[in-house]
Amino acid sequence: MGRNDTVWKLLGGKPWAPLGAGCLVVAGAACNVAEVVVLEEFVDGFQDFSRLRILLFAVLLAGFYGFRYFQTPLLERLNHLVGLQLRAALDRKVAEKAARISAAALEEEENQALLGRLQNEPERRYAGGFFAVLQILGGAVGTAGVFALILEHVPVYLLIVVLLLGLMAVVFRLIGRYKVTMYHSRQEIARRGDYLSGILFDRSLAQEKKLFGYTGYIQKLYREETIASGKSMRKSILISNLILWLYDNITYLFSASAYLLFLPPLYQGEMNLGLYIAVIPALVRMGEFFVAVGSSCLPAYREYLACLEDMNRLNALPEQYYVPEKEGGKRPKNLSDQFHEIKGENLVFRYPGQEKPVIEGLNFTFQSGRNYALVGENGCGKSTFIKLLMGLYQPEKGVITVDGEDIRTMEFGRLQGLFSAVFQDFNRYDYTIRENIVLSDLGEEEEERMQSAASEAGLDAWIASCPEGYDTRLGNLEEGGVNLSGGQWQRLSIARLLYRRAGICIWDEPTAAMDPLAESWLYGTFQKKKSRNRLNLFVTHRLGAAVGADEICVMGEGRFLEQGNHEELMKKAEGVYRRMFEAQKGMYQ
Amino acid sequence: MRNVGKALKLILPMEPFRLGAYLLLSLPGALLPAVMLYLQQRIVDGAASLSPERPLFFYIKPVLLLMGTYMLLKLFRLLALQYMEFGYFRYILLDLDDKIHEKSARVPLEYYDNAAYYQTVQRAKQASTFLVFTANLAVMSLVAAGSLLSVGGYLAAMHPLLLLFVAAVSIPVGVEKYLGAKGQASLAQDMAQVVRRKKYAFGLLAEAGSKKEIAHHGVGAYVADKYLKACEEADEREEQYGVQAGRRGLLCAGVKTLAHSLAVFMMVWLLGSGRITLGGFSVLLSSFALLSGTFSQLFDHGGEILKTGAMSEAFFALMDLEVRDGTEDLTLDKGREAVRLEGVSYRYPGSEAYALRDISLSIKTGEKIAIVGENGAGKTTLAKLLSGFLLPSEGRMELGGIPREQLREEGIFDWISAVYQEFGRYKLTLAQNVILGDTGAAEEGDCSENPAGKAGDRENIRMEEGCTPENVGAVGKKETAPWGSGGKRIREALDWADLFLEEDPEQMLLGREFGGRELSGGQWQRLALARSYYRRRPVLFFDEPTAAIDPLEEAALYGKLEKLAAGRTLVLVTHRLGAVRQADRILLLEGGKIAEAGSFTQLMERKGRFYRIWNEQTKWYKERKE
Repeated sequence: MGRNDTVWKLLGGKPWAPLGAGCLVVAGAACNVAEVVVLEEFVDGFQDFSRLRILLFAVLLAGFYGFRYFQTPLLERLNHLVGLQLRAALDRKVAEKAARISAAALEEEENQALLGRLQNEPERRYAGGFFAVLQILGGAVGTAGVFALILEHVPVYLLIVVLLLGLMAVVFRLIGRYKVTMYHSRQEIARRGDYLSGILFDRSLAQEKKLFGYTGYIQKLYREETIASGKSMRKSILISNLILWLYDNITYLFSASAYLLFLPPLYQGEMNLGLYIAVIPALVRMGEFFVAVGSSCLPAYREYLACLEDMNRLNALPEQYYVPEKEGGKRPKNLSDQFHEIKGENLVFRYPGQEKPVIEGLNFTFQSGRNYALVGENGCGKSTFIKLLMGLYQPEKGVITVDGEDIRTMEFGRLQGLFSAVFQDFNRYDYTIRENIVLSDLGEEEEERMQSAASEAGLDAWIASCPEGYDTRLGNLEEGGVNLSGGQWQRLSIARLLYRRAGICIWDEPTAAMDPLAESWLYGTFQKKKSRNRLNLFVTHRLGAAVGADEICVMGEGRFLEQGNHEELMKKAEGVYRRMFEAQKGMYQ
Repeated sequence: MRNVGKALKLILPMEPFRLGAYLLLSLPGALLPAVMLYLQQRIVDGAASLSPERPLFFYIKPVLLLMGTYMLLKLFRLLALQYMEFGYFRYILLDLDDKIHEKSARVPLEYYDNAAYYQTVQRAKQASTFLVFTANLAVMSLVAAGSLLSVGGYLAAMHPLLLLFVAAVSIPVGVEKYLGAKGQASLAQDMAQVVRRKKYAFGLLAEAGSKKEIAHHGVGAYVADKYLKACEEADEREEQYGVQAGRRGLLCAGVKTLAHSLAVFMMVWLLGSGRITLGGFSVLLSSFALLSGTFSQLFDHGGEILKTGAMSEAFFALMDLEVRDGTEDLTLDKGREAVRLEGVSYRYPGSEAYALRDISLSIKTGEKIAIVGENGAGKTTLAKLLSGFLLPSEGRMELGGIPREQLREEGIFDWISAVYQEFGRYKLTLAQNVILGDTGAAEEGDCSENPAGKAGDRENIRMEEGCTPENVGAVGKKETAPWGSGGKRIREALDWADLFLEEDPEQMLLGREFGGRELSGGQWQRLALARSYYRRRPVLFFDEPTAAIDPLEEAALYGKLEKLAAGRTLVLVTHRLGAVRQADRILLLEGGKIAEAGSFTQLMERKGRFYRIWNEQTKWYKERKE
């Protein structure tokens, strides 16, 4: 894994702005040295100068100032251009990669955090790295020039500089060590505080918040958390600030010590007054440069390196994606038409960082042309099973095959082409109604197919009432977007399911309840959808929905406990299914 | 400008002592620069008139002093900074957050469905940071102004003409800053919508929940495209801004160069004509940077103050948001009418359609009401109206005999406990999750002994109306539990909801996000039930209370809820018709109207709409014939 996305590579394509900035910085440094030379000459001889020469000097001096003043806005503009250039490149890289990362990889918190960081203006860190290098370059040129002037007269100053630089390096290491840990703990602490405060603004919690009246309580937690975290940080920040102070003082010695060191030669007449006066401002600038190296350039460069590291980690994340044919991808050979059987053996799966497998020793065989219902308690792994079945997550052990072909060896797009699924936590796109439906099967839109999906999902009347029909924007991303109820979102997700042509239809029931008529309608729709070359899988904890299925799979302990149709399962006196069914039925008697 | 005044008026009195300390620590920053100039002059003048008669140390002494002064200046700056962050502004921010939180607790529920309100809140939260910035900038401006005064005074003492020098150096800085500030203010607001779009699209790609569907449908590239489009739009705007800023910058540079040339000529002339010494000249050389730096700081602060002042507007916008609330407290007496609605209609703000139409209804204390109906029929809206969250748009509504609009919102809530479909999954400790239901009780300690006053009265209503020992639990008994009396009630609530987790509820952090334990959907649901159990109130609202629970337990849970409701007033909103049989009265809503009302038997006998829906739902549970 090389360092692929370095700032140099990203800027390399259009190098004019960064090169321009580099030239300006170097010219600025040269200007500072020239100023010293001119000033020295003036101070030493002004008493004997003609008026014209004095005037010439004044013009030169003003010219130096003018140059610096024009340099600033030009440099700013170039900086801005470089920043935008970096941003465009990084946005693209991050988005393209994010589009491809596998869903399973996102389960890991670490990766979530990584993406969070990379969305948060990574270009700033990149630009920071670039300008740190630029600043060091300019400073080095200036310093070399000033040294050349001084060392002629006071060679011992070089020794002092080396000594001070050594001291700085030591202190600098100390700073570095503190900064890194502090940055991370600061982030962490802020996150907890944000969460607590966020509770009080959460729309879905507004009712609980107002009724229970817990604002004061959460506020107290928030305050305690913030103050405690402040206390825990205070000391380490003070220490690191003191170290910075020390560092600052050492760098000040660069110029201040010149006053001391140059006095004896001056006292003995070995050095002229002009240099003594002219060089001090230059040395002050040099000191500032050394401070900047330690306090801003190197940390900025380090942040850039950390961000680069993040980019490398991002690039290394596993991918799982495909592009639908009409969107430019090649159409995978459609499995759906000849699909006959999907089968899994001895599946084992656990979530990252968890000890207990969610799925353990699960076997199944599903056949085309049949309706399956998957029932079981909450958290028994039904939804996880779906993700394994669809190849979104990889089982730790065991194999899933489609008509004998191991799904691991199948192209992802080809495998997905077999399925159309609604997940428990289906997406609610804050885009148009049209997009909400056709996103399941992108390509040349088939108006008719979309409308029939919408009407099968019972959305006709509602869509007709929307201001812009299918092009009505939903959600509150855009101003004027239409807000939907949970039930309407659900129907939209079903329309999306129906729009996609597939051999296996999976409907993972959301935990939120639907109203009875809608639910009943849905069960019916599913039964109707039964066809010779389609497999329907209905995941539910409403047993009523399972009754009509050709086969009911009762899940528990990470595997299928019972399988069979309703009648068969009801015959098992001590069966899990029977017990569950009786309990639920009891509510209607 | 008005905002700045408002901001300062709000913040400065908040923590006066901390402010004083901060000012004291900042003061040396205003005085020491002038001292350093003086020392520099002495050093250079000394060097220019070296005489072997004086010892070397005479010339070295001011150098040492200069070094010491510098160190002191920096030390004070450091301490001031540190104190500002940890000793002063952290507290101000907390105080401001409190104000926002409290306000947000008082705004009507309707606001929460309104995107504009969210923007106001988001902006207000940012604004509180800006308020702090404003205050800090005010202090820093004070320091900068002080140091300008001291440096300017020192130069004027050297030669009065140098006041002109100060002006020449500083005025262009002012022009520059003024022009710069004007451009910037609009950018941030311009970008808000684009940034939202970016965040939204990126969230779809980067979150595990939405990602799996994206991967399944193969629409990653499609969404990434949307993201990139938003990015491009943002970049374009910034680019335009950059061009403008560049032009302004060049203009300023021109002005600055002209004015500073004047200053250079003046200082060369003063030296050439012997009006100032070489030391003075060297001080002037240094004071170019010092003066323009400080002026630029001062103007920066000024500009920033205006900017942050404008940004803090949002804070006041939120604070000034009008909240209608009554003044009277609700009292409910047993056996009397608790709620009366006459021809009540309701529509959400900004919506044409009525969510509820012409509802007339009377509920006595102790009655059990079930509200059923299709999605969108207005069930939840009616429940929200009854529990005091919404005010009728038309018609009359009374609670406990008092017109609704005269009642204080919190006074109503104080009578109610509830479970909502959208219950919270708080990433706090298990115990805190329960305590949230009744934070007042948690502070008072164990309330089970019926403290005097209103809370006691409320308990009594329930007690008198005959509740059974099962649901009363430990009420009345006083025991010392192993981890505090408050804890006992928490454990009792958890036990009641059958949430058995081995760990100590006070230690057990929930939610994976902060390294706690993740609960299953059903466990979270039971926790929500425990929370409402913990909140002992005479009126209960259940809005789909078991949506996330298993069928096996659902029946059992309804049994529990029924027991909990014994002797209390209950309003139950549900899709599960099986759960409404015990209600005294069932309200079937259709299109915002009460389509049918009556007890279960009455409605079944009527063979109307309720009857039809009942059959629809139960048919799946009937034994199949084949």
